Amino acid sequence: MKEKLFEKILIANRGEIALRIIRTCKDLGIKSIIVHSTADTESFPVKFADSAICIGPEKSMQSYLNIPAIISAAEVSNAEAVHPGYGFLAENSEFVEICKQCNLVFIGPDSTVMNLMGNKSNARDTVKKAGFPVIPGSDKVIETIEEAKSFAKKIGYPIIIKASAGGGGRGMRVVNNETELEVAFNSAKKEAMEAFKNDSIYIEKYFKYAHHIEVQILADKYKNVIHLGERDCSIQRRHQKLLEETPSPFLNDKVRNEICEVAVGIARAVNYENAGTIEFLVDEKKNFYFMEMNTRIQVEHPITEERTGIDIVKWQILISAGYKLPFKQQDIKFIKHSIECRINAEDPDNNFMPNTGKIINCHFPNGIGVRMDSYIYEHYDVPPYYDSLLGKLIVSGYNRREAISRLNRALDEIIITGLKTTIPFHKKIINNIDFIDGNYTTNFITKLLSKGV
Amino acid sequence: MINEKIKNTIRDLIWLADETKTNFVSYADNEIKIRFRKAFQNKEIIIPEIKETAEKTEKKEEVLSQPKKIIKSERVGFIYLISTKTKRYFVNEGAAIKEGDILAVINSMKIEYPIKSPYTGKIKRIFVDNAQPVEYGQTLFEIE
Repeated sequence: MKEKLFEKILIANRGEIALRIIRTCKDLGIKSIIVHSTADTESFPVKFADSAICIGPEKSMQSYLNIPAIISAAEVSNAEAVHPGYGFLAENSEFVEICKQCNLVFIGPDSTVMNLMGNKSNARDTVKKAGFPVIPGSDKVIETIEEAKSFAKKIGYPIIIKASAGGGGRGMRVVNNETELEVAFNSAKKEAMEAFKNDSIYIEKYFKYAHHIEVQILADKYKNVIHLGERDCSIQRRHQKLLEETPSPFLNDKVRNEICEVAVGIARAVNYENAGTIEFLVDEKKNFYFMEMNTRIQVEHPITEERTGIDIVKWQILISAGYKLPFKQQDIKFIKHSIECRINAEDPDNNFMPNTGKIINCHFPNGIGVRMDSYIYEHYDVPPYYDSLLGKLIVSGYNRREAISRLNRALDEIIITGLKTTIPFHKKIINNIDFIDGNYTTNFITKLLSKGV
Repeated sequence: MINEKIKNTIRDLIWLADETKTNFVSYADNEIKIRFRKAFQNKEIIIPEIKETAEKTEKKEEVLSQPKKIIKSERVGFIYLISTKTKRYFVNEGAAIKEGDILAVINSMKIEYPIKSPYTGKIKRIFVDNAQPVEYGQTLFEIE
């Protein structure tokens, strides 16, 4: 494949990630076309893209998930490629296939790899067969409640139910004993159907105290596969990541190298192409198990960009256009320590209840080591139809201590009024002694909340 | 002679549009006002059109604030006001129409979707040009 950069890219997403992609398009001199729902007409992505096409009403099913409307928009705008962002159609292999048939380059892996790795139980099988460690769990989709019961008994409680097509914590349920199982099973199925148009679920052993560590991969069309290091995403509330950092304060260099090597091995084993993330669960003894692969850009990708200085979205685009990675693994320099806080429109004092409405004041922090990826602005009316992520505060420093100081400084500077946000909660996280010591697991938020903060 | 003048002006505008590779030109003086827009053949020039059309439609909608019988696009695609069978416009401004009459077709992913009038009345205004791209919610027709 001969490299030729795209002239126009259509962005099939909204919010901060749409803006993130528009920015890299501008850096590369590529025209960006944003598709949007009627609820997002006043949004920054619509204002800052080179052109905008309204594709449907507020509900995502009729707009951001409306494949014919998106393909038509690409047709009328003469776009050559589609960037799906994360969520929505980012891991929908049917969409990838339709793009291909319509001569549109999908910025991401092809549908075969996506089917293999995007579907969690297929991914597990593949990784297991390739000889890499996986979490004990059902090797296939669990169809009935009886099947679920007998399997859970076999591996022992607690277990976790997950959606095969899922991500972002949706369709997931932790089950501590058999009496909880039936309700959890049915509601997980229902939620999976609503979120991903696919209600298949599977079961895994659940580790109560674990570390969620993922490795960023870049792979071109010429079998060059490199990693950009790991991200520690253990700070989660109900499987929703709140704060991520890189490098992980939990790993030592030996395990860090091993886990990154295994991630590269997995990407090679499936002939992966483009940017991807391999998620691992790491237990207290630093044994790690493959959990899943995300075949798309991740929300928390900026911390890796800040740590390494590599624009991941840029490489997603260039790889899709047939460019070869110009750097080898040894060229990647891991310099900074970087931390991201997800600023959600949620009320931490009221069980993280999402709230929407008009933003009154909005001021973003600045200064050395501070980056804010957000799409909101003063007087912007946050629509109630989509997720609650308003933006991401990303700080970096030469070591963890410097990064945490800067994070404190930036969280003090940030002003968002009119809506309740997770900003005050982030202050509590980063000033907690366990966090400062780098001593935390996926149980951290539960523990923090139980202390009544 | 005003007719001769219009004819010459149109000729000049076509020449100007070709020469400058633009697709929209206009001319106005005390007597006449001509707006000339090329139908899309070349896809390269489509992008600026979309924003322009959208903005214009919004402005028009503000002016026409009382409840109107407006027909909006329900999909994204190219709109065709001219029937491929008869090679004639489905309807013109001022034409009397009945509920269910086809006013245009939208071509979306190579499938043609007819736009049928939900009203009986008269076409007061057509807001789009033949073969132009339309987005969801774009105002297409006003019926009176």
